[in-house]
Amino acid sequence: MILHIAKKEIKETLRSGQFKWILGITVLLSLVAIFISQEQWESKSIQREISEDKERELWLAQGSVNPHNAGHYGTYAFKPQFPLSMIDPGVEKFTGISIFLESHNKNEADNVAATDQTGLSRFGDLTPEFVLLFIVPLMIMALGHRAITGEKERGTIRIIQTQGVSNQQLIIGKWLANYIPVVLITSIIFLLASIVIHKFDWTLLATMWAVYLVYFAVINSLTIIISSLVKTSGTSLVILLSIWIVNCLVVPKLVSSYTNQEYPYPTKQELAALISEDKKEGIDGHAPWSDASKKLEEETLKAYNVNKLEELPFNFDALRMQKGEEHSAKIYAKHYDNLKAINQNQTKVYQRLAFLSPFLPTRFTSMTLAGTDYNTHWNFADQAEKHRVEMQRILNGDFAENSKLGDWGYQAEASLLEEVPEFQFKGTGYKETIYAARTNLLILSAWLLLSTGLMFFVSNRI
Amino acid sequence: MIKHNIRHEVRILSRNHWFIILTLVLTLMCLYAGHNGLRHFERKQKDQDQAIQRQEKEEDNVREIGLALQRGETHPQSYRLTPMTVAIRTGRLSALPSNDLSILSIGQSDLYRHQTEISSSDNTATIGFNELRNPIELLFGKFDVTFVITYLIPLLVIAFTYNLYSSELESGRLKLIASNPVRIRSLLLQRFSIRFFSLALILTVALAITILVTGVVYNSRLLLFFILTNAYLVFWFALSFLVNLFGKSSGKNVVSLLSIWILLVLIIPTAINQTANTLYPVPSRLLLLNEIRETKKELSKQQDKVLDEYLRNHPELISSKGDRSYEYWKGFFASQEIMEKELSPLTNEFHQKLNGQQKWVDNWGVLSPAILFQYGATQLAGTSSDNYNEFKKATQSFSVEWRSHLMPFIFSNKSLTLEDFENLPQFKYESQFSQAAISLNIGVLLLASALFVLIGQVMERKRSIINSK
Repeated sequence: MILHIAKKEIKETLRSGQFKWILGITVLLSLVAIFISQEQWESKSIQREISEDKERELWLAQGSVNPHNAGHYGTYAFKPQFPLSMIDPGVEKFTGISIFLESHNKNEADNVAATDQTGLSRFGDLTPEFVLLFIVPLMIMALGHRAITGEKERGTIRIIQTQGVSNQQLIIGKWLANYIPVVLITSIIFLLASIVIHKFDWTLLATMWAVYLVYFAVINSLTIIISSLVKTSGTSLVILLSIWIVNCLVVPKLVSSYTNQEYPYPTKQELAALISEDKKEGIDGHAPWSDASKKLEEETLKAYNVNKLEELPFNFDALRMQKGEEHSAKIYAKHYDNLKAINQNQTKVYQRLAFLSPFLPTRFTSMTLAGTDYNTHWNFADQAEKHRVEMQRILNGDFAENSKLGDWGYQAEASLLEEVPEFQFKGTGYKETIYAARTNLLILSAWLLLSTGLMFFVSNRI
Repeated sequence: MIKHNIRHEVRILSRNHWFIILTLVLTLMCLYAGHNGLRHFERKQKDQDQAIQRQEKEEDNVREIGLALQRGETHPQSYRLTPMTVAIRTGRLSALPSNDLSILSIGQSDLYRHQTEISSSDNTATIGFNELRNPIELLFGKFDVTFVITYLIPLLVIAFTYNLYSSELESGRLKLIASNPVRIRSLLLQRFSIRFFSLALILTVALAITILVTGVVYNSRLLLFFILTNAYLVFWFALSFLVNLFGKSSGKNVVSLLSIWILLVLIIPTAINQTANTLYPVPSRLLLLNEIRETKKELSKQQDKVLDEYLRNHPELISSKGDRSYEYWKGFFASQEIMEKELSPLTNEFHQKLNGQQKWVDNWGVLSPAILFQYGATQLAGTSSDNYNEFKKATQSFSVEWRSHLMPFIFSNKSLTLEDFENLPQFKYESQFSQAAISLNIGVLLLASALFVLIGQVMERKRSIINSK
């Protein structure tokens, strides 16, 4: 019975002019989005590879150099561009993709792409994710708002009920009929994307596809619920569109404004002031006259049982430099951990308020799967910092071992530069990615259960 | 006639619960949005004040040392008046004063810092302007008054006008009215106008309350903001008027109006943005980094040659004194200038491409009233991307001026006196807005509205002629 209803509805939908229009617009937008995103993805990817190679070349081309000078010259860590970021570029535009690694200082990622765009960029970008998150739900609502109200308006609902069809059967039939075309379109979008993306993980793409299908199922259930509850198609559409606006536009903005007031980030200036305040108290590699340096001097002399720094078997200047590095690394870790804690609190608010909008958990899961969420960026920044600290250790180690106190003109072998490894970002595996998205996946599942449950509940009131 | 009509409409509206609820909701939304804007504004202001205070303290410090030296005393920190220390450590602060209209229109101000330390140790191409932010917040955007007006007000207009004509038609009252000695089209126009004035009044009151609470100062910018807002409101009313006359049923009207809303507010802006990025791709920032580092390396290898070449171009700086202690710094600053020259083709390309994007957006922006409104509002508030690009440019050129002012001191190996210090260039910047561009946007909105009304009138006249035959 359910299948009969679904079949009849789908046939009707396929024949209607409205469907052809909506389908045409959605497909056109998807095609444009995929085409443009692919193009941009490709060129960015090439740029990144060129820059990465060139950067390594520049690093090695220093040749025989003083290790500390090499540390100041520094190098860059680049965040790789993940294949699925073509579908969902996430926060990439706002985070930057390269971090300068140098002695003494931890730097923020720079090259924020959003600053190289006009103010219009805040309206959004035409990417596959935009079509999936904003346009497809609209399509579902436009096609489905009449599902039940249409029967009521035509008076056919009574006739259907006399045919021995239960309301549940009717609703499931209508639900399926509205959902199947959406599944087809979504699958086509993902299929097209899978053709143009290079070297991607099938499991991630399939999960992403499933996540969007769950999101659409939620929207579909909401559509049927509203259509069952109200009397006319006009009212149904107006209510559904209000839901859409609240879900996709109002709630995300409200939540982000609220979150940032509850748990504000320090400004760049405040953070810098806190860090430099802390740095003052410890060892500074370039300040041998500070108290902390004097203390280190005494301790080292005692440990090696010598009277003068010159008698030490290594260059004390380099050791002090390394201790200064370790000290500042600790300070950076402390302050960035604080920042992370603020971010975690913010994330919790987003999750707590996700009951207002299924858009939020979908958006976050999609970004996590694409590797373009904020956590991946943190992960990148952490790995880069670790790399920076390791790099300083290697350089200072060589300096200490192979030179004498006060020998600032010392030049290390060129091979030292080779010893500093190239930065490689280690992404998370499939299981870890899913684990990272677990809360949002759970919230989305709850939305699915609740909305379908509610749909059955209101079916008694048709 | 019009008196009757006004009384009729006011009665209908005041008895409509929805209208009252929505008025309240609108006021609350404006207030909350204003509150958000105010918090954002205050935070930026505080940050800037702190930076200014710190800078002043730093400068006072140097001044004190200068004063001591002027009296002929010795000072342990006399090095603070050497030109390189002044150039790098004291530096200057480039500050962009916040305009209090930015409370209503946050625009791009969540992306940028409003002040930057200018120090000659930086390369002008890489001066950082970005604020530390949770990128998710940037992705979703802020809930400010401009958002409420751009996105939500049109929906309110649609909700109150979509069936003004069709409901008369559907209920059969239209025939009744037609039998009276009134013209349908002028009756409808009157009804629209009355509704427009009521909504404009409510919006103005809601905004006025928000402005009073948040403390935005009344000035010509605010007046323009109000005019722009009302022009935007007129546009949506006129559009609805036209759709009303075209449409057959209330249901179809609301669908068409909402589709148009989605098209104008959502799809056209994103499409124009994406095409701008595709047609005028900004060169890779990563490439710029590579270039900077490569040039730096080249220059440091040939430090002596750099200095020679630099002095060839600036013979006035060759000093006869034999002191070599400044030698390193001479090379350092000279190579900075040469580096800027070498990088200028690439940095210029950034400016050109960005200008290209902006031109494209300006040209095609007329397709969407949302773009016209948003551009105008952010321009007035000094938070559009134009404003920040201007500020960046001003900062960069000041940074060059700063360095070149101190160059002669470095090359003549001499420290600054107190008087020299007081005569150092000051950074001054006031964000400009183009009244012409905003008036143009208002004009376009009003012109489109007039056109819609005119088409509607002509259509209705034709229809009534046909009917009377």
